[in-house]
Amino acid sequence: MSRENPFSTRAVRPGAIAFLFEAGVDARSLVDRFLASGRRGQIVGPHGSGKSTLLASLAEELRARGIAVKLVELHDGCRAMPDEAVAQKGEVLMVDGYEQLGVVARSKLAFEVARRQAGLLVTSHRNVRWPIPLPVIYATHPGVELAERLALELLSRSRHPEAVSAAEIRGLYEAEQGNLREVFFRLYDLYESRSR
Amino acid sequence: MNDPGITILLEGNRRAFEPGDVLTAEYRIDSLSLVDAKAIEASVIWYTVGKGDEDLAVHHFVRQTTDAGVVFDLRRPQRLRATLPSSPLSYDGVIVKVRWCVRVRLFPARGRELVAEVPFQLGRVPAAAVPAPPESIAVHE
Repeated sequence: MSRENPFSTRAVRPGAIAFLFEAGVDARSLVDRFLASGRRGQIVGPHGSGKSTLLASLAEELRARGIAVKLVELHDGCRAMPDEAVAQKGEVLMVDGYEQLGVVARSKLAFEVARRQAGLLVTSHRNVRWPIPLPVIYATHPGVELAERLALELLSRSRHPEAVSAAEIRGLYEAEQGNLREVFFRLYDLYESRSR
Repeated sequence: MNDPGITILLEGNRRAFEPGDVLTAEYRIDSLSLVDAKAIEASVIWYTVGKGDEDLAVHHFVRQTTDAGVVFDLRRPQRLRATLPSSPLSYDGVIVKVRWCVRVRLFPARGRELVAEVPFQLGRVPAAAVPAPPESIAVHE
């Protein structure tokens, strides 16, 4: 049992909580799909729907198969790839926030990845088809049930699992229009105000 | 969360320190299956916990490794000793908290690394006041 707020960044960041897959899908099957697509793919979904978390799960699965991974997180307004984000031969380059790149940056990235015989797996808010169409290997769909499941699971590991009710989680989900990241921020505040 | 197999003891089971104090800890590997580890790291670190970006710094660090053919006997308890700095002090804020701990990471010959931590308090900064409850939330039964 943790003494920390269960909605703190360290508890909810990608990789800290496992991605909850739809029935019949798991990290292994998605990595199979990615490899079968010529090591090209994108994960598509709205803000805060778990794309980065899924990317972390797939990175773990790829590494477990002996495939090296390099992750690049693009922050708001980042139109070009950082200079150091160069994939080596055989490596899979993961780009979180691919839709932010300009067309020129995406073209350059596609060229570099092909030249170096590397893989490319990205997350995006929309299906980016140009300049190269990347197969959509998974579309994340946030839902109130998912938010409730995740939040209650996090609460169950805390000292005050009763601090927030399921009904409140659902209310926050609606207020934040399905953005799980914002829901977790609000839950952090709520937990803090009730557990001190 | 602490992995089984590693025990960390702070001298005198002390959990509160002042800047300039010397922290002494003993750590040992409890499982014989782990004593052929490739490396073990012990550190005194601080990190932030909270709502935004996180921060972490290593104040004191010791690493023992077999890389250069060095043999170390993990069946015997190891000791760590560090003089604690004047900042940052432990703090229990609302948006951010500063935590100190002794952390031991063990890299077994096979399998994933194991980690154990023992938290402690540095300084005596009072906790932040209880925040006002956030605005009301629509409840959907």
